[in-house]
Amino acid sequence: MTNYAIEARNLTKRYRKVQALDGLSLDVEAGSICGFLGPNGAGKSTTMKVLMGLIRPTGGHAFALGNDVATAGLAARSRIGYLPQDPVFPAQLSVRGLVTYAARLHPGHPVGRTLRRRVDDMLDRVGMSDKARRRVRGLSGGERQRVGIAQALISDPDLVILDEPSAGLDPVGRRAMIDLIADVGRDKTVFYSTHILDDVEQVSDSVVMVNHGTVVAQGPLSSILQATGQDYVVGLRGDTADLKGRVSSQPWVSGLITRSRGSLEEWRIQVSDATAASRLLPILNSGTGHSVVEFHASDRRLEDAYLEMVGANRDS
Amino acid sequence: MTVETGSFRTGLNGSWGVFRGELRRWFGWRGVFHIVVWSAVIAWILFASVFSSAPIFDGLGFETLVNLLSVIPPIVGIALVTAAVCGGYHNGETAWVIGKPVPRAGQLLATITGLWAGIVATTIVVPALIAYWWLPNSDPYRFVIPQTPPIGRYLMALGGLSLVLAFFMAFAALLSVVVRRRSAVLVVSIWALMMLRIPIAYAEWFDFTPARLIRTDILPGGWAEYTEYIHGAVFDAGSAVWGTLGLTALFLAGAVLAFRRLEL
Repeated sequence: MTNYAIEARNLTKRYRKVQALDGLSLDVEAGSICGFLGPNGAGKSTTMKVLMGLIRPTGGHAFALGNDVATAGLAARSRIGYLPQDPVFPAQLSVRGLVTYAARLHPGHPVGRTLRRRVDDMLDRVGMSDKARRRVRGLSGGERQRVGIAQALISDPDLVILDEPSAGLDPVGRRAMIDLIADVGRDKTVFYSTHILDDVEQVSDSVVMVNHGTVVAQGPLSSILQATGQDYVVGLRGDTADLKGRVSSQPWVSGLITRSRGSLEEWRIQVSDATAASRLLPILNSGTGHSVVEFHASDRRLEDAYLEMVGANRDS
Repeated sequence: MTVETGSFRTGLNGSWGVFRGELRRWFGWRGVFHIVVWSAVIAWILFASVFSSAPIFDGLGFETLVNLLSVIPPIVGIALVTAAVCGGYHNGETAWVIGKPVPRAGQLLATITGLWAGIVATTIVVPALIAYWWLPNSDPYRFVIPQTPPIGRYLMALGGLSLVLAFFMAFAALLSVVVRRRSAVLVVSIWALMMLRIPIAYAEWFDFTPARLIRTDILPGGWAEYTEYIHGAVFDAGSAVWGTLGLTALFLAGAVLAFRRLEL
């Protein structure tokens, strides 16, 4: 039996005329690092806020670490570390003061020297030891995000929910954040939303994609990539006008992107299943006036899968 | 039941943490600022009322003090509660706290209580104790030297004024949660404070509100209830104390109920 850290069943949320969540159901396995993807307004932050008990769903149920967030929200939140999108912390506190304050809000928190040591260790882990005395209000965006991670982790939670932790960070800050997420994910479940698909590919082992308030794909990253088909790169010379029509008309071809490089034409053909290669090559070799000079399968990237799933869903 | 007990303890711990955090803010620049500013303002007005010949300062030392303490702390309280509740809602700080294992009722009540305790200490107790020391030692221009009131009665009166402060803070908290617009809450709350101070035609229900405690009777020789009390009169406004306490609790309960439904 699979042990889920997060379960959502038919979540709906309506804000007057806007349907933010529309029967969203998702599962996040315990111990996984799960990327939560979707365009702006897809329902990512709303889902996370429902999980944190900040908003009530119009319908459906959500469970975090086995606790129904509607009826046992406190029990759930005592084991969750949460970093909201664009976090605002009490501005008058120092970095150390903020993390200490966050620790004290959790039951069974250490006190005295033990608490001080834990806070120092946490600041060290996120690389903020040298800025421990600085006021939160004076921190840069990247520093604030790192402090945000520290306050989320200080209670040693089982589940960490991060709402766009890399948003607004420079490449170095983003890299550090990804390393931190990978580090945290060694012994905790991490559920984080992002628009940076490269990061998800590097660090996540599972993915949930949402659009229009509903899940369009979820599962292990490798399955998501396989499920969305395969790309083939073809290099051609000569007259390819007829060939293009023949290839595009095949029902298992889901996309054809062409690019010219001098006399060479490069096609990227998206097919719906991996077995299509055996059918594709004879078509490419048929006809006259052109020659195939290159043919190989291309690694499918998450971005392709994302655009295919979310893009297709967006138009529907 | 085990879960319920655990949740209660969790909630209590979180609420205590918020209260403690709110209280700690007073042990820094905020506390120093309020003590210095309000002690200076109140001392200056008292000083003027005692030594000036201007009719605007017509009054006795402790009467002026009671009047000031029934206006200034509630205005400070209304402003700070509004900033905490409306400001925290809009800038996301409240959502951050509620994302921790802190119950909503606990967060709201701990914030208000922490603010109330800080305001009582900095704008009521400290200025009042300073006045208690120097006022009877002054040499007034227009009136007799104010007598040193019994300390017990004096402290009881300060407690009563703290209750008046709690009333207006609870009122502002309820409005803040429901309306969530800082300027509107400020205007309505301060308007209510001023209306309750104006001695309008007698209405029976006034005996069950802070109006009975803080407004000065316009009849000759009429003082505010607490001024009479600290100078030895029998306190006969028990209904107003209980009424104020009840209304304060009612406003807080309303604020908590509305806050529990608030989307953060």
